Amino acid sequence: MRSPIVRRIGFYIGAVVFGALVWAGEVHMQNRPQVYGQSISALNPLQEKQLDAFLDMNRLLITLGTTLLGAMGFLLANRPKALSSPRGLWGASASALFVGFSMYYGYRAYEDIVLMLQPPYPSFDLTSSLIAWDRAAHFCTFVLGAFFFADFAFHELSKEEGERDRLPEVPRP
Amino acid sequence: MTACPKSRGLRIALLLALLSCPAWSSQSQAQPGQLHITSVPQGERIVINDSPRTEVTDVTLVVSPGTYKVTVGNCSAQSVQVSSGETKEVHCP
Repeated sequence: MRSPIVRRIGFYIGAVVFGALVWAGEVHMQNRPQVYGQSISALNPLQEKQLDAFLDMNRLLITLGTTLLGAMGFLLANRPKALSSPRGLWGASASALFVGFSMYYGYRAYEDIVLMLQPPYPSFDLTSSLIAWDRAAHFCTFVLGAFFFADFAFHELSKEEGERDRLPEVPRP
Repeated sequence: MTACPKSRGLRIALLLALLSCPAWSSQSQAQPGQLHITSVPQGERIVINDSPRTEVTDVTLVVSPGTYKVTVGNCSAQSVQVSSGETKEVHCP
């Protein structure tokens, strides 16, 4: 069996390699030729409504993601140590990872909008390839995070319930 | 000996922190350029890099720096190199 130090070093090497792969992917995505949209001088009323709707949904998903992380922290901190299981922790870890990605892509979508509206060549197209991927990833990773959180919460709560049922009833005086 | 669950959670948090560094450092994007596409008559369909656009001529599109294959209506495809901050003209015929 490998020693904890070897495993820890392996983890950090894996994390750095994973980070480098993400970075390379980002550079590739940014450097490919892409059309932002039609050049505009100002947003028309319809585009303003589109922008408001997009920003509202962006904020809502980020708020929900933050709330989900808080709820998971609460569940992790308050669960009985005797009931800890690796399976439950894997669900919690996957949920945290996906919610983290969701928040990251939410921030990227916001950056894309800033880039689109930036002078001297402002444009606005929420369906353009620049923002479409980030918008889709923002939502889909949140859904995955919520799914793993639900799995973790259901698993933990049902285990706690089962443990409570097994406890002997205290006779009343 | 196995790692305790808390230290595993801490490692995952560190992993997220590590991931966020390269991701945020890659946020600085180059200033875009423009493609000014015109035709006689107006209203011709535009295809850029084999993807049809919803816009029709005459139109100015904001694009990231790079090389684009632009097809306007029945005209043959033109390869256009757009640099940062530059406006390139594409005309058909």
